[in-house]
Amino acid sequence: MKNIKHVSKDIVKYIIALIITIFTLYPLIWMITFSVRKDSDILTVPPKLIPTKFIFENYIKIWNQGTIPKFFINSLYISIITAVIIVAISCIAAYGLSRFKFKGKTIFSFLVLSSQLFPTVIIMVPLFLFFNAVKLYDNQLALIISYIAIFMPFSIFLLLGFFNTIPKDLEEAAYIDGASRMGAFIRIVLPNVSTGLSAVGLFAFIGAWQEFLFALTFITTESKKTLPIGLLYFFGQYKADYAGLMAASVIASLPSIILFLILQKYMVKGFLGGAIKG
Amino acid sequence: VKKESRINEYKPRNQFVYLAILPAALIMSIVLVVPILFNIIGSFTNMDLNVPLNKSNFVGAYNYISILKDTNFWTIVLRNLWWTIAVLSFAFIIGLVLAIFLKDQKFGKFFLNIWIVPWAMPEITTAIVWVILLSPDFGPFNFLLKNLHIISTPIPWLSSGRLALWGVIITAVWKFFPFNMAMIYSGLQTFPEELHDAAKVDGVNAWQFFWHLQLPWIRPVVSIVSLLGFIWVFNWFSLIYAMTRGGPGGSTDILAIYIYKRAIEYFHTSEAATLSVLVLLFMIPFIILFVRYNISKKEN
Repeated sequence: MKNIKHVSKDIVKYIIALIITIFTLYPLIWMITFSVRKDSDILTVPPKLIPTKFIFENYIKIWNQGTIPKFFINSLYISIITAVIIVAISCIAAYGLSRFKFKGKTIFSFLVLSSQLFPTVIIMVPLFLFFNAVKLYDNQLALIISYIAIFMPFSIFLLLGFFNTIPKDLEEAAYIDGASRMGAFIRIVLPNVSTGLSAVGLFAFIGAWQEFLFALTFITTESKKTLPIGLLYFFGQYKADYAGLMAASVIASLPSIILFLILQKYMVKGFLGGAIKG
Repeated sequence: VKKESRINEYKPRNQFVYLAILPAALIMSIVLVVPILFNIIGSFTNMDLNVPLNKSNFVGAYNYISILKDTNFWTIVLRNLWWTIAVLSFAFIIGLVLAIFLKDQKFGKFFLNIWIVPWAMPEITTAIVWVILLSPDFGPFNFLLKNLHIISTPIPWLSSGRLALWGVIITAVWKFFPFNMAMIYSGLQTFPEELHDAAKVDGVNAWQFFWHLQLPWIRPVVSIVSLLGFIWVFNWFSLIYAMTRGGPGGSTDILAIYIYKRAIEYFHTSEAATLSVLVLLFMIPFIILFVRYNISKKEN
């Protein structure tokens, strides 16, 4: 009797979990199934989740025609450069912060901590005027520079956690063996934070891949636009081609979703820090 | 003490550490600090997109006075607060309930990773999909509500000035609840097993257990989640802009969108700078709380 009660309780729980899963994933599933169906099979009443026929023409079509591939490559280029530079700069900054006492450390730490929460919209106007003044307006370099700055505070913060867990004894042992600080940094410290470095690089990549406000404001030439902005215009212009739009949306979403799922635990850890005991 | 001196032995010359910090400090100052100073200076001038700061005139507190006197500004501020509180509370409650539901499940981790997908989806594709989902003609959302007999005629979620904010709130809650869920789940994971067992022995009921034991345990998580959430949601630009561009008729304008419009569409950069300073002033207490929280955490 107890057993049956237990089993039925489990079943109820799984049914609830399944319903929540459907609600959570519905938009994503909808996007994917709409990207593989014919135009005529799309705007039906009642809406059908499962297409009558699966086709991949929409992907081929948007990849061969139109500007989506250009936006994709622009986004890829900007995101990769941003990620590489962020890894390099935040790595040495976090190391310095973790290992040294120096004048201005408090101010620098405050800057790193507080700017994690900076709403980017409040610096949009001055940056817009600044890039205008230095002739970087409508130049992808403006995006790269801003992205490095806005995604760096979290990167330094996250890496600091990784550096702080490496015991100083490890480095000291290397010094006693005659290693220079640089040598110890490269051979002892860096390998120990490699997970942190890749996490930070991927975060920066996702951040730049999705960024919207600056990409909207600083770039006007169509061929220089990034994927999010390209999609926004695609959505405005080709309201009829929903299948193509959905195919483009899938292409834009998948890299984010996959990387995000890999990085999720670092993200939660980074935000919570010491809020979790134990 | 001995160890301390040994470390000091290897304490390098100061130049190295400044060299290490310099690139980060430089780029953060240029992109984050200087713009704030620029906003503060610009907010006291009459600069606009055609009149740069160095050719503009000092107008004292004129911008502040005219903004604070503008009833439209206060409508937007109230809407902004309402939007933030609505999104935060719904997302938090859903996140909390789901985290507790998942906590002791065999497949808790598995479902957590699936339910986190909305958080992972880019904002632009979220916006596009939800605009279609909420459409009155062929959107599944209206279809579902109709079949559940909650509504009799399809609701034009995003094209009606009265409802558009709700359409965006629904989307934002869908996108934001996983953050709450994942953070609270992490917090609950560290709940000591002994306390759980002790509570069982003492015959504590589920509600008492939650209210008197679990909730106090995750209090630090709850504060950090609300703090981060408040700042993010209050300034959430991309989702609303991509879905409605602040429309129809300004009915989904929040400060972030309003600043963008004043600066980029109307060229009133001094007004936008003033609005930015006001937003920053409002954010400062939250930012200080966040910094203090992180410092006290480090000291423990």
